[in-house]
Amino acid sequence: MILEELAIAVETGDMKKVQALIPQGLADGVDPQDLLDKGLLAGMAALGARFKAGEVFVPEVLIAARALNAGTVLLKDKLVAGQSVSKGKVVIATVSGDLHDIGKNLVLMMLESTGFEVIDLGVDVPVEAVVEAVRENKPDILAMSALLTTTMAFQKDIVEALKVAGLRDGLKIMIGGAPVTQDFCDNIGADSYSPDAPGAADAALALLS
Amino acid sequence: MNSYERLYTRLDGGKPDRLPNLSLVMFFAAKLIGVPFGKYVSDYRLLCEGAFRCHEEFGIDMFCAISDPMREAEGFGAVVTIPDDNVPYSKAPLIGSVSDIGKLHPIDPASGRRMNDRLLAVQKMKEKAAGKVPVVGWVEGAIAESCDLMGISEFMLNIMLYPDEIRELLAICYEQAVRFAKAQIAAGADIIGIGDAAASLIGPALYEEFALPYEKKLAGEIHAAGGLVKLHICGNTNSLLTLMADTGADIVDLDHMVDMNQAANIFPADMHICGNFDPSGVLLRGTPDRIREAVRTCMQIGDRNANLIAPGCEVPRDTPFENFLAIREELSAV
Repeated sequence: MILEELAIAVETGDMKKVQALIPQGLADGVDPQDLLDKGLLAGMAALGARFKAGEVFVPEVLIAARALNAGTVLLKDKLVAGQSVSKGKVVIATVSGDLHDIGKNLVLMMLESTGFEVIDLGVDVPVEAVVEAVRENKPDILAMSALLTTTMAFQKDIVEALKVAGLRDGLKIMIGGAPVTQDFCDNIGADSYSPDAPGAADAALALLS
Repeated sequence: MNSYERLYTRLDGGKPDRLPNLSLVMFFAAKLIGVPFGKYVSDYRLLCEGAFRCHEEFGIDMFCAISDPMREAEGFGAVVTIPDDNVPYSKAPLIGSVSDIGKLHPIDPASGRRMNDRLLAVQKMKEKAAGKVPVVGWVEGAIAESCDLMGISEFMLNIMLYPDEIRELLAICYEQAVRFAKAQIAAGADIIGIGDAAASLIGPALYEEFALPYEKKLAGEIHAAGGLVKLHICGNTNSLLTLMADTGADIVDLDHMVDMNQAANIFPADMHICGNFDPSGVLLRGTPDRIREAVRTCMQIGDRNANLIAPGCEVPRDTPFENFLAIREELSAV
């Protein structure tokens, strides 16, 4: 029951309710991992489905993410390391010369709510920094965003730079952003393109299945 | 027909010699005249040169003073970075929190450096046009300007958390837009473009409450000052079309993912649809044949609303010339 309430609180962006329900759940002996997976993340996943269906929009997703984050902060010290099974590790970035972060952040939220571990490099990330982050973190997936036609070419540069660095094999590459198309994805040798954030989470699951 | 006659004949419901080409150029025009974008957005003479050459060489049926969204933000006092060859931006939002909104004051557009630069651009365009080319000025809509000042994510959160304060912010941005639009009309603009891009992110319920009232009032002020209104909301506005029909805009730009047929069904017959093929997948990366096909499709489906032709958003910087020329060629061929 409390898990359902928690999920609904996230889905409706009710941060105060989340902050009340987490301590209550812990006091009642609910497994912290269940509070995370079946409460917080389940709520975000439900909202993601409604976002994909065009029933809710960016403000509702951001307000839900705020509630989710408030809940995860309260759970941080309670979760047992290793108990959570990650769906995979993703490094995400908006490419060089591009300061747009909202699309990237929506994808990040959807990936996290689907169970991926996500390392966010931020915006305006140079090609070399992306390559270095892949070398260092050894992700399963690299996800790249570009909102401008003038910056989308950096997605190609990064694919090429990863090949030169010997890091392309075994790495799945996802791309997105308003000017990006499936044709462009195929052309630059990326593995997956998604036109929207919930679709990106589905695509990430498909890539690793 | 000259461009002015072509556009206004179409807007008046008549039959021009060909459909007007209202493609928006910014980065492309800077590249065409061989100047870095930072200089293009800072010097009205360069902006005019780009607009004039795009009119002459690619058959664009307007001189448009659009360049980037940050002119009004700079006027409000935001510290705007203008990179050598990239889009101007604000490193830190001027409005850090809703409590800062009271510090904002609309200014006289002539006293803002790059706002005045746009007024000078409009004046120069009017002189060059000599009544033969429509001059299109540009303002940020209240939602877009609020995002420019606050940061888009913060605005999207605050619209849910602090609706009253956000209304206050929108009212200030609206007032600035009215002043800027009127100043551009006084400087010679025939039409004012209202760029309200972020409005496509908020969905119909919030659009109705927070975007539509300001767009509608702004359109009314522009009409009262003698201008026509071109509403430009990038992105997927399919869920907003019924509400956008009530803005009073004379021309509504539709991005490529919007169903033009549906828009034609919803909009009043005198609300002209402008668009809407894919700027990236078709114009930038397609072939001239593909572009001609896309133009033909747009010509057919929007005819009920006496449509105008353009890609769904800005012509990409690196668009091959033969691709851009294909728009004019196809329009002229019919």
